[in-house]
Amino acid sequence: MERQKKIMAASRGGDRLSDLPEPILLHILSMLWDAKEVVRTNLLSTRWRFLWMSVPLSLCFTFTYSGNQNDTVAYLASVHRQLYYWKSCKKIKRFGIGRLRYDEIYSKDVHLWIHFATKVANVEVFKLLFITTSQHYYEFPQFGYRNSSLKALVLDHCQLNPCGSVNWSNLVSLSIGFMELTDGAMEKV
Amino acid sequence: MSSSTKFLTLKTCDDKKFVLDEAIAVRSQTIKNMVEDDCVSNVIPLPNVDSKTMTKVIEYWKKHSEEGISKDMLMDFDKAFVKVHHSILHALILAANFLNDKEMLDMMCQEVVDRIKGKTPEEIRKEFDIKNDFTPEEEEEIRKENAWAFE
Repeated sequence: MERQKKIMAASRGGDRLSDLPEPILLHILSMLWDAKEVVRTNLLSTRWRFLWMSVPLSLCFTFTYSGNQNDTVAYLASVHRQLYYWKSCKKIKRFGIGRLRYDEIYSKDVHLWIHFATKVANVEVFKLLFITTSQHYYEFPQFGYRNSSLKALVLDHCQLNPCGSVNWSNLVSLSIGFMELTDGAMEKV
Repeated sequence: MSSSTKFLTLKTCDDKKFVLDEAIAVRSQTIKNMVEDDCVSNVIPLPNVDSKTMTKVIEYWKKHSEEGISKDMLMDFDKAFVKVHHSILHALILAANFLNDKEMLDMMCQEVVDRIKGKTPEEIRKEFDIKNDFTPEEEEEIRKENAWAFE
């Protein structure tokens, strides 16, 4: 019975989706809104096993509004875990962090995201949006001032204070909000 | 129709001919390039498209070239247009890709996305007749690897 079913499926032409040329399959997968859903297609068949790694994706992590520090720390850990796995994806186009209630204790975590965006994934669009109630501004790390993949950068509640030169060679759009700038920083940018 | 209207003849891979207003046919970037490069003789061969698929493509092109058609009417048309069997959807995607009609290609791909999203791998396999060629052990291993993608 099972065999008969298989023969029938084969005669109907069976699986047409997997037969599409790879650029089209990648295009289709890139249109899925949830990036994790793209990863989960690796279970479909051997054809799909590593396809997700070449899909141009957008990653967006948004913290909840709750001021609860435990929630923030838990979500932070989850973002780090996921980024570890996302390193396998070769085509991350956009990376965004939203609504982190910034505090100095998170500065090293934010460094890691900037490192991921500018040195590991080499994204084209990077957004870093904090909400802050205190006077804590995040100081943008020096290694982040040199990058040739970024086309758009959105920052807020950050402090830009480059020691050396700034080289964002392909940057087309820079959007900054609630920014603390030191003298001369804007000229360098 | 004005006397200046130019017509092109398109020939599909199964030797059927379609005579079409050039203004409509150039929705295909591939055909447009051929016309602009002046390498169009009498008949444009479309070696990758069959007549059944081309009939659908032309139906789409004509509707989208109709004068004075409302956005709502086009939306209804598009909605009905993509509700086809996978085999036709597949043929239309390949045709839109070959003809280089980005608007149509994106619309057909979006339909595939709509048929994938929100489904478990099992449901997607069933929907598209995808044969699971992993051994049970391999599948189990990938499932474990995937745990992070369910967070």
